[in-house]
Amino acid sequence: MMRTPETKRRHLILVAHLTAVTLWVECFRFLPQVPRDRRIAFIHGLGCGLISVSLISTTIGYSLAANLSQTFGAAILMLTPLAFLFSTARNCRDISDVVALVLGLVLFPVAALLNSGVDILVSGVTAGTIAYGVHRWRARS
Amino acid sequence: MSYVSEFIGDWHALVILLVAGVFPNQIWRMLGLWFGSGIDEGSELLVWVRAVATAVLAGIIAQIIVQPPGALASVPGVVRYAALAVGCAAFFAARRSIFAGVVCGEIVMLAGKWWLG
Repeated sequence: MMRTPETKRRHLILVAHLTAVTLWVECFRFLPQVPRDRRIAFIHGLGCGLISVSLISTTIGYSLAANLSQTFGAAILMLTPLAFLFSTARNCRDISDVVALVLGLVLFPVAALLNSGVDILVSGVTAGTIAYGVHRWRARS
Repeated sequence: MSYVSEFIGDWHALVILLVAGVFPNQIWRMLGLWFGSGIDEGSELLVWVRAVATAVLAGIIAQIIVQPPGALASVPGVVRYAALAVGCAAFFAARRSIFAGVVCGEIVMLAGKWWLG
């Protein structure tokens, strides 16, 4: 989504390092509104901003962690799944995105029964492949 | 100096920690960069990769809820699932507002924890 004919691989190195869940999810929303030749610069800015915020929060969290009540600690841990879920759900465009998200959620407890150590990979590849199948099936009909 | 070394502690351990953290991470980023440049962005392969990435992310979300880490394990399962369900309802009710979903989910979790212990 960022490459132009002039893009060199070295232009993408920093982008590859800034990629994380939030950036990945938000880029699907923001990048179509950014001109293609400005997208790498846009991601550098967004990525560095996100990293700054997370570094500051990590430092604050680290110094607070020992003194937090269990309830507050649980509330903070709960932020991750809620924020990931809704930011991903918001950016679902095709039915295959929805299938991947819902099946990924549902299949994990099933895959966890295997206790293979790579449960998330098992459920993820399975659910993702089914979602891709749905995409193919819809593209054909 | 002594203050700094006290803060940093055993630097050998830190170097090992840094290498152990950076190395497995870098492999995938570099491989992605390497192979990614040869793939057409509209290709079917990338559609599959995106679907799998979304599903893996969903798996991580499910894992935190189903097999909660640390302090979250002190919250009963019913409360965690209820928080997720109410969060979802609020998310859709507020026309896909991430903020509404997160806030309502958290409120339910805190209320449930307070009630049920």
